[in-house]
Order: sequence, then C-alpha cells, then structure tokens
Amino acid sequence: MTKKIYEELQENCECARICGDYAEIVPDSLPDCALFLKDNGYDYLDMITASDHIDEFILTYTFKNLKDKDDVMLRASVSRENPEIPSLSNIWIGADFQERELYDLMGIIFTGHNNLKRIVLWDGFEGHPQRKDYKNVA
Amino acid sequence: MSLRTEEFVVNVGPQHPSTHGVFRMRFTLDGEIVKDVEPIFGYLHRGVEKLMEMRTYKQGIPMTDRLDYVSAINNNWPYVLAVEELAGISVPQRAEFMRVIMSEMQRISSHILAVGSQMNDMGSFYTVFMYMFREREKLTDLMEMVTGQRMMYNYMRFGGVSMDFPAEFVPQLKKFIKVFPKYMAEYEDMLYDNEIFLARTKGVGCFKPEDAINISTSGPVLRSTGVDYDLRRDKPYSVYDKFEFDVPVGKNGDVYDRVWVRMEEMKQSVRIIEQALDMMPGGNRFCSKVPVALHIPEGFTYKEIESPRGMLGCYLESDGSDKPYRCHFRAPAFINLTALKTMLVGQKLADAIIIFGSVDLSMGEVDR
Repeated sequence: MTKKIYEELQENCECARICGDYAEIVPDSLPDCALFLKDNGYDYLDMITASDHIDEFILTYTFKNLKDKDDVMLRASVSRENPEIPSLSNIWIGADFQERELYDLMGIIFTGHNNLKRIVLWDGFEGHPQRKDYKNVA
Repeated sequence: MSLRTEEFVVNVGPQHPSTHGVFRMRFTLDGEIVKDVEPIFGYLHRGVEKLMEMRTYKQGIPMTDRLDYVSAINNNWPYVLAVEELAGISVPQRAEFMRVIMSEMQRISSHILAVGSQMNDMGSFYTVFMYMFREREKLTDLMEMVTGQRMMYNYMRFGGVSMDFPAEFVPQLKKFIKVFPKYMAEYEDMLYDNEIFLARTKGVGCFKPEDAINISTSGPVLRSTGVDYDLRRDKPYSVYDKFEFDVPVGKNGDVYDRVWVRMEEMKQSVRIIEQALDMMPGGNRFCSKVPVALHIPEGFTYKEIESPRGMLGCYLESDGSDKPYRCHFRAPAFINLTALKTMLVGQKLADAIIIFGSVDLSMGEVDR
C-alpha cells in the first residue's frame, strides 16, 4: 500500500524520488506533493521536523491516511546559506505552530507563513539553539 | 438592534489558577465574545531536545519523563521504541505486557486529573477532583510500589523495563481493577447528573471533524469530533493487537464529548489491564541484555504511540555515536493547542477557561 502511493507521487510530481520507506523531494515542490497527498486521502499532516547536517538541513514531513491507516514520509534538504522552504500552513492549520517552532529553534524560514516568529523563546533571543554550531553556555 | 462595543484586549496568565501550567492567553474581546486569541507560551522551555543531544542514549530516558509529567511512562515509550528499532534490540514478551499495564494505569491517572481539573475550572472547587483523586492516589501508590517514584517513574529501558513487578503488586492491582468500575459509576453520577456540568459543557467549544483533521489534533480532542482513530488499534505497537477494546468516539466535538471520551477511555484501559494481567507470561525476564555503552548504527526513525493526550511521536536520528544526533518529539498537546483559536472564537469569555481545560495540556510537553 505504502509503496503504491510513493510511485503515484513520483509519477505526478517529477521531482520526487523513492528512497526505501520515504520519498525525497525538492523543497520547492513541497506544496504540490502535499496537495497531491491530500487529494489521495493522506489528509492528516502528522509531524514536521528538521535536523542539522552542517552543510544542509534535512526536513522530514509525515502524513497520515486516517481511513486506510497508512503513513507517508517526505524528506527535503535545504542549504545552510539559504534555509527556505514553502510553508504548509496555508493548507494545514496544524503546520502553523510546528513551523514556528522550527523557525525558532532551527532557523528555517518557511516562506508564505503569515506569522513566522519565535514561539518558545522570547523575541530578543539571539541565534537558533537547535543548530549544531550554537555555542552552549552550560 | 445589536449593540457593538469597542474591542479590548484581556490578558490571562501566565500565573492564573486555571491555566494548567504557566501559559498566557491574550484575548481580544467584543463585550463578552472572544474575537481573537493568541496563545503565548515557552515559559517552561528547557530545551529537552538539545539536552538529549548532549547525553548518552540511556541518560535520555529520564529526560523524556519530564516532558509530560502527568503521563511520564507514556512519554518514555516512543523514545525507547525508536532506540530499540535503530539498535535492533528485542523486548521480552513479559516486558511488553508490563509496559502495557503500567502505561494504561498511567492513562487512567492522567485522565482522572484531566476530568477532575475540568470540574475545578467549572467552579466545583475540588469536590469532584478530590473524589477522583482518592482513586488516583491508589494508582500512584501501586506505581510507586513498582518504580519507587510517584511522578517521574523513569520506568522503561531499552529492551524492557527497569524493575520487575513485586510479588504484592499483581494481587493489589487486581483488587483495584475490580472496585474501580464502581467508582467510575460514582464519577458518572457526579458528572452526568450535574445540571451545571451539562449546561456549561454541551454545545460549548464545538469543533468539526474537518477542522480536527486539518489542525492535526489527536487523542481525545480528535476522537470527540467523531474521527475514529487510535494508534493502539489502528497501528498497533507493542502487544496492543492482542487485546480487545473499543475506541470511544464522540459526536459533536464539544467540551462534553471530550470529557465523555476520557471517561470512556478509562473504562477501556481497565479492560486492557484485565486482559494483560491474564495474558502476561510468567517467569522473571523483564529486560533483555543491552550493552552499557550503547552505540547505535547510523539511521533515523520515527515512532509513535497513543499517549493520554494524543499521538506522541519520537523522531530519532543517529550518527553512529553513543549520543542521539537529533531527537524530536511530536508533542500532542503542543499541536492540539493550535486548535484553541478555532474552538474559542465566537464563544463567551466565561467559557474560555473550560474550553482551554478540555484540551488537557501539560505545559512541560508544550514547551519542551
């Protein structure tokens, strides 16, 4: 089941590439891929996270199909110099806080997000602590 | 003729008796009606995800307890599952049942706190709460018997659990399980026969299933709207596929349904514990042998469990060392909080505290 949706995704969004149990996509194609998944029953945005790989950030998105009880995982990498990816908050309200959290802690810019500001740290905070090059005080 | 008054801003919190933790809401009001709400949080941010990158895998377990301090055992689980998958550690059957029993006990005690404090918010100051805490105390005692702790149990380990059940535990738990349904009936009398409870919760804070899915809510908030999804049944982890239990689903998605779903879930947890006690294999194996300095091969995984608040996930990435490279928690309460605006706009300010309470947050998990 999971396999099939990845193949369909690859057919419909040329920029998707299947890597085992997830699909790798180009950052700019994220809204297209997400909308394709949404139209095919994967209408539940489960989780967004990112990890710092020094020269790039890898973003991981998981989606769920609540009816067929299935999951899909998408990964996209953005460069460190220009960590930008289109926001999903216009499609899923649920992406709002998660994207703000990633902006706050990881410093990823979600373009198109209409309220991208710090969420757990205060406004005057400097730097993004979840990055690997952040200087730890403690 | 409708009167319009000038909009004004009211600040609630961060220190307020009924915000369940340090949490601030900025309401924009038109008379009594909420026009907009902005949740402001982060007062309890400890940077758990960053701290875990500086500790070894095993040192990370007590950190997960402190995420959601009302359901510590459930919070151990996704992290432990993720490490077990990446490192290829197997868990003895008996330990799986022990995990299920303890986490279902934790679910009951977490829901008791949720429903009890819900009544507190409604003005029944500590009456129902104290009746419910009478049984929660017994549960806490039972869990203390096993783990030696009353709040931060630090119970799960990679490949099993930290301690075996003591000899007196199972008979005591059986006794508790036998009398608990009687107490449940007592709570139900206190809630559903209470005119004030019904008047203040029915049709308040309504929430449509489309919205619930769009906002990525999970747990009782999602199920109260009529969406039938529970990870324990739909994507079973551990030994949940062996048990027979129902997933209670609400109709209207109002505060009443959220309380009702929690009450019903407690009954289902009792059923699961009963079956687990019967099916639990004998012997004394409660943990498989795991190297002290655990190095995990490169890779990443994402594991989810159904915590009392919803889907709790752990994204774990390893670079081959003895410390996690990246550890992220999908905190259900954090995402359920996004729904606050949808639930609150158009409601009266007096109901705002009840609606906020019905989401059942624990700030430790929201801020992390």
